[in-house]
Amino acid sequence: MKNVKLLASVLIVFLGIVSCNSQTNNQKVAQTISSSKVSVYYFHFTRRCATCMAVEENARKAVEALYPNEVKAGEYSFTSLNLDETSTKEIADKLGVGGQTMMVVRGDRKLNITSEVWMAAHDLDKMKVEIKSGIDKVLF
Amino acid sequence: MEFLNNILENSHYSVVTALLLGLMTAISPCPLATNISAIGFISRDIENRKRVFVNGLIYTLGRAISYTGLALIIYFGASQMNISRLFQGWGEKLLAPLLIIIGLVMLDVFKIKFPSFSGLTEKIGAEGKGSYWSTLLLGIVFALAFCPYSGVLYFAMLIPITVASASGLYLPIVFAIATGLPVIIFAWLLAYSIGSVGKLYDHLKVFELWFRRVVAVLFIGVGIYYLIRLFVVN
Repeated sequence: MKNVKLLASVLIVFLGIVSCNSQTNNQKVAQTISSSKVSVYYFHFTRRCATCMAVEENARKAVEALYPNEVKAGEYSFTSLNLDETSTKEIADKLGVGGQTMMVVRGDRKLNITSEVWMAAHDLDKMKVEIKSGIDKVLF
Repeated sequence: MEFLNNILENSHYSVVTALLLGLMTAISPCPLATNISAIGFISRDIENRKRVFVNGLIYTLGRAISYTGLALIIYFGASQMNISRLFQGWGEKLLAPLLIIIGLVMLDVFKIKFPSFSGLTEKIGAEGKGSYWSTLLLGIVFALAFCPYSGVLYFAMLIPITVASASGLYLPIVFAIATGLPVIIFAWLLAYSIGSVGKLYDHLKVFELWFRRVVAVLFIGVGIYYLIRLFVVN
């Protein structure tokens, strides 16, 4: 009986932590979307291919190399989100994302650049061009 | 792959784009395992090379049905987000048990008897000559099992140019032909070479029986491979 109570309390605490965490995540995401900050989101599933990994790595590098000051100031960000995690569902629904997607978001403006970054997966210079072009389009 | 990538970037014709996307899907490492299984399945009638060729065409037709069907569903208003999430999230997960079951049926370990499919499943078995229906079904199912890579090529690249207007709705067929082409060629080559060796020794029947068994084991092996991949997180 004692064990059951202990297990139940551990479970309650754990669920509390998990729900708090996902709430904080969601709040953070909601704030980012509603603000004028520029966010580059990369959505993926748990299972990924070599090209998928390269896309994430080079896109992240591109954002950091192109906008070092803005990234430091928290104005620009690159976020990788796993669609298999329940905490990602809300933002994925909001942005209309159903599969592996790279998306640039600023306030209400969003641009799907999956096709472009996919072609630049293994080429950092090309990736920089595509990321910059995507960000410019949501800025102006 | 880099070569195809370059042509793709400079392509101004959607038909060429669809063709290249299909070829990239066919030769990418991810769907390779299903392609090898398909090659084995299609070339199982090594006695009759014409039949192998027809099987290849029917397998491609199966793929075309899936790709065009999905495109039509999206074109007529279904949420691309939901369709894409469903197939990219679940396609590969269902593949593992399916391949193992097909392999076991081919080995005659057990027989599945669905009332309407009984004729069909019996013919998949080692004793039968292999029906065209089973090949068509294999094409339909394999096309729906999207890998992370092929998922992007189809949903993020082909679908936007397909559903942009009604005139683009033929593109999934071009895409399907390109994904099936390497499979048809290799299946035919395999049947040609193994068939010749079999004829040489005058034991074609024995060759064919053992070839089917090898294909069955291949299906089970590929199924186990996909099963392991599901539990190994990158």
